[in-house]
Amino acid sequence: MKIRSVINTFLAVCLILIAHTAMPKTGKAEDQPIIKTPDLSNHSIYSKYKFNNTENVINLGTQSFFSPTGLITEVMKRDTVLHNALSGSGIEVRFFPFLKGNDLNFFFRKGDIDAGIGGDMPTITAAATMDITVTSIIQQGFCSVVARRSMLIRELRGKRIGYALGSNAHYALLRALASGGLNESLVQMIQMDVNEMPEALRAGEIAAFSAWEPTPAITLMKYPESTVIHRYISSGFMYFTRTFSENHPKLVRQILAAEIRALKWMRSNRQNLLLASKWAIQAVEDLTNNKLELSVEQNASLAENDILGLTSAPIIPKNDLRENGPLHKEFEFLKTLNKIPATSNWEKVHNSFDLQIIIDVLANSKEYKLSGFNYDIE
Amino acid sequence: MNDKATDNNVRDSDKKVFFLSIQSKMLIYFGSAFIIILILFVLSEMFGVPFTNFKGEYEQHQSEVFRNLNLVADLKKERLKHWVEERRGDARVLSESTMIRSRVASLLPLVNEKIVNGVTGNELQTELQKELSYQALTQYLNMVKTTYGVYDKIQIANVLNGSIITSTRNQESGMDSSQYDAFSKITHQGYDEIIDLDKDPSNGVLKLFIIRAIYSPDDKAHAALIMHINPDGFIKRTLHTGGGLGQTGEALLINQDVQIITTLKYPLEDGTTAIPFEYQIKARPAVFAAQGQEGIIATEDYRGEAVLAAYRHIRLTSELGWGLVVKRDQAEVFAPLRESIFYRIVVGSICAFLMLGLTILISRNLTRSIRRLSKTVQEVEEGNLAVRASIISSDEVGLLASSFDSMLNRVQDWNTELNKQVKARTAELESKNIELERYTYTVSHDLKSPLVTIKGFLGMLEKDITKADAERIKRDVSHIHNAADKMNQLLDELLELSRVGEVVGTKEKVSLNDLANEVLKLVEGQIKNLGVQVKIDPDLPVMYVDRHRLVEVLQNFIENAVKYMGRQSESYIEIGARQDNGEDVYYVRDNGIGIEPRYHENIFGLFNKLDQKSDGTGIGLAIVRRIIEVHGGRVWVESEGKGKGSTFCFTIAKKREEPEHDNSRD
Repeated sequence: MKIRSVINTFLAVCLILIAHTAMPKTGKAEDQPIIKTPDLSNHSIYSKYKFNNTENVINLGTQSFFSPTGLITEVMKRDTVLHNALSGSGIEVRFFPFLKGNDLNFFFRKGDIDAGIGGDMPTITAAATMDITVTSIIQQGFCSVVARRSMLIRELRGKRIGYALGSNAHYALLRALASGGLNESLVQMIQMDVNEMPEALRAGEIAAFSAWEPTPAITLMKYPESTVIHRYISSGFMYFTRTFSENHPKLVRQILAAEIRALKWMRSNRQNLLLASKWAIQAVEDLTNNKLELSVEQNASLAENDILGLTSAPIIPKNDLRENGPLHKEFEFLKTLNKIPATSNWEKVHNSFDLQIIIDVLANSKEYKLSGFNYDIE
Repeated sequence: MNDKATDNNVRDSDKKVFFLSIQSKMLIYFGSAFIIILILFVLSEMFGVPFTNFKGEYEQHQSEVFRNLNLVADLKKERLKHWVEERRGDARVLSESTMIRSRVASLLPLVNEKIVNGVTGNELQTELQKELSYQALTQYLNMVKTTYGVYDKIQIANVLNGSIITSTRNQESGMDSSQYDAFSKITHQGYDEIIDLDKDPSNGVLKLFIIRAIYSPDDKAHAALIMHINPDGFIKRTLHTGGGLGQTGEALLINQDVQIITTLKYPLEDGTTAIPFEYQIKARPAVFAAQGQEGIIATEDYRGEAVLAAYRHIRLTSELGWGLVVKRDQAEVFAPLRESIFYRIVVGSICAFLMLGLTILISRNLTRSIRRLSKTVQEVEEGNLAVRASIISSDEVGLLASSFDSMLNRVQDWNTELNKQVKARTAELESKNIELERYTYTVSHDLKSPLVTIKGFLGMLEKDITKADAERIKRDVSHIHNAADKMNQLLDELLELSRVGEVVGTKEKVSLNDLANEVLKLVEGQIKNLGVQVKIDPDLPVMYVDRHRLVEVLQNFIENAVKYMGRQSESYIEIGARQDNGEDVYYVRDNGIGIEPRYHENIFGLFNKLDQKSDGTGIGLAIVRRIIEVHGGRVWVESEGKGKGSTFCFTIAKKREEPEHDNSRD
């Protein structure tokens, strides 16, 4: 009798565990409340920023922890050619690093930032909710789904997956799930900060996560048993407020020229790339007060992959803007997440992309000194 | 009635309960347990243990295959990327080299002038060959082409009008190359490099084009370096999977429109061969790769075959990307596992059968004793008490069987004893019945006799009253009184006889000497009147008896001895005891008239009197026998016949704790 009771209890526990494992958990997009960007005015990092919103200062928001744009913006920061070109007009450019694109957009919306660099999602969000001009592509890299072990996407069914809501990586995760015949309702979607993901994966709190570089690279390095099971290419863009781009077309072009120069400078010599990598790592550590668990060489290699994907001409591919193209799909995705209003118009987003400005710069390489490298290496 | 109901219930329950022998149960329990354990073992070995880090062979193999596919895909992607990068590097070095830039800068105005003047084709070629710059430039390009060995041809063209300035292939100077829309990108859109994989417009051959802007001294893109690469050699070599991916391994490259770039390894489902840049693959890995995704998937390929495929996206420029798929048929991938599963099933089945056989043997051995005991019990139930389990086993069943056999022995003994007792009781009852019948007959006959007398004298009394004969009336009444007294005596003694069996006083240790002396005092008068000598054995034993009843017995014997002494010169009575075959026999002997042997038994019967004229009812000796029997003894008479005297003997059952010979006297 006793043994039967034990067996019955064991079977009941097994059934509960199976039901628990098989039961879809949270994470359905339609269950999410309408997302409002939190007030970041008192943020521990951003509250220290002194934005000078005068005509003589250009505030440029960057993302140090977004490889490899961090390298590009760090090179731009040290571009004497840019500073000289602007100082001639009595203009100064200041760089403000942000942890993620949505944070940058908050200050962009407030009018503290004139220009910014963000991934697909923050760029589309900004384009849909504000008047901006997207001028150039700044990177093409992969967002990765990292799992504790080698597995098929379909094996993620019912498992906990870490993600950052509304990010490129979130979208990449959805693409990954779709490739395995899954969707958000068939897995447990756990929102978390990208910095927490590697440790959560190691501790077994999550079976996988989706993030942009360098988080996947750090995870693979720290926990060699983990593996990338899916990657999806995503882009990063530079954008300006519409007012700024219309009122200061020359300044916009000077900044774009600095981007082109940075790309050319890093591609021209691997030592330059390593130096840029070192600056980028330092910028991340200054921002987060944490040591980045990535060597200069590793960070450079990551950047190399993504920067080498670009020619020296960071022109936004027309194909990406077509109806049902990748950016349009991401736009629709953001609407389903309520990250942008459901009434948002693709036309407005599409028109925010100005493909001509970068061409103007490239076509006048002499004027914009695209090959004139002069960086403040000290 | 209740027993019958219980039996019926038992039978009903027997019908309801499905009988399953212990051996069958052992077979089912142990067999099932073993098979379940075996299956769990094989399953855990194959598929791992849930919620633990123990990975099964399936997962390990799958991980290995995934790792292999991913590795191959990554290697091929890197090789392709680096190869393209090398070509891009070549183009960059060439286009930015002073040698080319300066020669182009000096030749371009000359070529433009000659074209404007209508000099084209072979004539232009001939004119240019005279120019040292042209010679040096062409020689340099040829040297590069020869050195690297990967370029089909290298051209330099004027981006403004598309005319070719020089080429590693003869007779191409002055030819129009404006079909390359890349020129407009270089001149008007700021591109400094274009990469494209397409068919050569001039001959339809698949080519990888790397077009690089050549800048004038004033930093204007005025010419383009066009490097034609026949990718067949390198791409095919890179996509070749060799034996690393088994027999079915295949790597294929597609463009952004999911069109194949190289030929496929297998024909399509309809048997046709896919043509590069025309056939668009619908298979999911190819689509994913073209869209910019990377991963691994289990799906169907272009043939409809189940495959494991690793897919990669090779981003070459912001506008150009290729898809790479490395796949292998699942049938081949999992063939070793299937073989492993097959052998496991075979070995497992053999083990299961062996285990079942072993279980049967063990269960048969373990239950043999139980089955034998069960069979014995069944036989006992059917009434055979002679059967025995006779199990020699050093376990609990052995003990049980031994106890059961002992129990059977005792039951059988009890049964035998019971049968004996039943037989004895039956015989006794039969004897009693006969005695009762005789008693009834005797009682009715002897009681009737006084009644007949009374009735007869009552008739005579009536007549005598009528005659008023006082003397006769008195005599008649006297007869009637006598008859009534006789009848009263008979009834008293019968009552006494009946009470002997029912009313037995407390038994006690009594000396036979004391009893004999006590009786002698009671009959002292009669003895003295007849002058009978009485001799009492001084060593008479002590008996455990009802004293009062034994007095009656001895009194009866002594009175009878006196009554039937006859005419003897020296009458005597002897009271003694002797040993017959170890048994104490007590006796009262006289030298009276004796009893013929034929009456030895009768005299103890009810109302049996040898001398019908004698006083007495004929109940005395019957009472004696009854008293002796109640004391567990026997009574009989020994006499050689008439005139030879008589000896009345009796025995008394000994009390258990009574010593065999107790000569003590109270």
